[in-house]
Amino acid sequence: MKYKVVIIGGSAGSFQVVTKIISKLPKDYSIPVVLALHRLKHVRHGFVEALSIKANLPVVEPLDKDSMKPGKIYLAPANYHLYLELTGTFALSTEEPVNHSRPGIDLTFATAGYAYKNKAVGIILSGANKDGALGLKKIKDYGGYTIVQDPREAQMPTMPNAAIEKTKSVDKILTSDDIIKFLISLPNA
Amino acid sequence: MNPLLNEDVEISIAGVRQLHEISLKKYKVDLSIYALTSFKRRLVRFIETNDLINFDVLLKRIDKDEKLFANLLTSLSVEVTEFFRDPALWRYFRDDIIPALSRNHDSIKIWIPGCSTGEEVASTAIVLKEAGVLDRSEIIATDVTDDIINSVKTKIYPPAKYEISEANYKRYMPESDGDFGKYVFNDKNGFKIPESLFKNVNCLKFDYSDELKIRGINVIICRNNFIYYTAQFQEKLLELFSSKLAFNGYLIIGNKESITWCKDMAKYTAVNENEKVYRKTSPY
Repeated sequence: MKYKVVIIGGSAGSFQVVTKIISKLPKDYSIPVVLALHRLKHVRHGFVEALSIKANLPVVEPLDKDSMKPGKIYLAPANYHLYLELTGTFALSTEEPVNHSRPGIDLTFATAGYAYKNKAVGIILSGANKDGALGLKKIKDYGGYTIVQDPREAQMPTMPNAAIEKTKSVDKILTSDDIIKFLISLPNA
Repeated sequence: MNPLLNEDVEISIAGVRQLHEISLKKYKVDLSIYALTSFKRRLVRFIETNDLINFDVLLKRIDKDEKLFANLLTSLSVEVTEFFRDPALWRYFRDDIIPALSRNHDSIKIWIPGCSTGEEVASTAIVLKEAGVLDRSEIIATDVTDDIINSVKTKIYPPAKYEISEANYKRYMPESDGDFGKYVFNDKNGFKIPESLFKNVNCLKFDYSDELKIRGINVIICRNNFIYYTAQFQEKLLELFSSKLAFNGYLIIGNKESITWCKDMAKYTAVNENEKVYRKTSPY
């Protein structure tokens, strides 16, 4: 199966895992990776830079209506929701926070599921709340591939556990090392 | 249940097109200007809050129920913001834009289209007051329905907005540990902005279909409105703004919005890339 997008959601305890994952993706990794991570809403700068240090691919915060391009890592900007559209572009919104968060992980996942159907891979990492659970289920319902970080490994198991419970039959529960192996094994977009 | 995540409400693309048609035919309002995903999300929320059960019920009722349609328009326009969102922008407004304008103009005309719940209007008025130019400024606040405009006029905000707005104001004014509280007073429904801040604020209904008579605007503050529109309408909106802005007037958009691809951007020079502030450097 050729996938067109990988969406990674995480909250408390996910930063190191995300950094590790993106540091292992090779320079020629062509599937776009979208990061929906909880972050301080008033701190707009610094996160991209922190993620960029170890990444072999450019990390960017998409602007409204930017096209999603292969070979890039996209980070949901502070204080906006990030949607994936049918047109292959991003959309931003300042609608009400979801699960007290903006960006809301559920929304990025649900729109990715709708827009990319069985071409989407959704991954939920460590976090201390339930955001992302419903979104991952949506990806599953639309035919996408679903992965959850092993709750035993996650610093905060609440989010992985909620995602497993809500989705009912996630495709894989993996440690971060195995998530990396899986992502690298995917055929190029 | 979160709108868009509600599993009971499904809206197909064909359904969206039907709604576009009804709206244009019956009410002469073009809803196809709205970007799809957030449009659908707002429709789902509207269906939920009005107990319409599903999208088909909405379609059937909207055709006959004028009030329901007006409510739909209102709910399509509400965004969720804070006072002094992006404090760095407001510092730039205070330290660069206002001094430049007050040097060159006797009066300052500011237009805030899509003013929604009015936080940007009040923030603007506070900065103008602090700069000592509120008395020679005019703020025109517009949005698409009377209901939105009337709620802006009440100047009442829910308690939940206070904490973040206060924190933003402190970040806007870190040197003096800014006290947002001095600009508001308690109201039984939350907090209220005093009338004196709004004395030069003109709230108007304007829905982009009729003609807005104002010209010679010095600043247009339109943050996080472009994101809700299609690329085609963004282009039109920018053309409208260009026709209303005075030479050397400023256009301020949301920090993650992008309109640089629009043809009319040839008339502008970016003066603050981070905060997305542009100056109209063409006289036309």
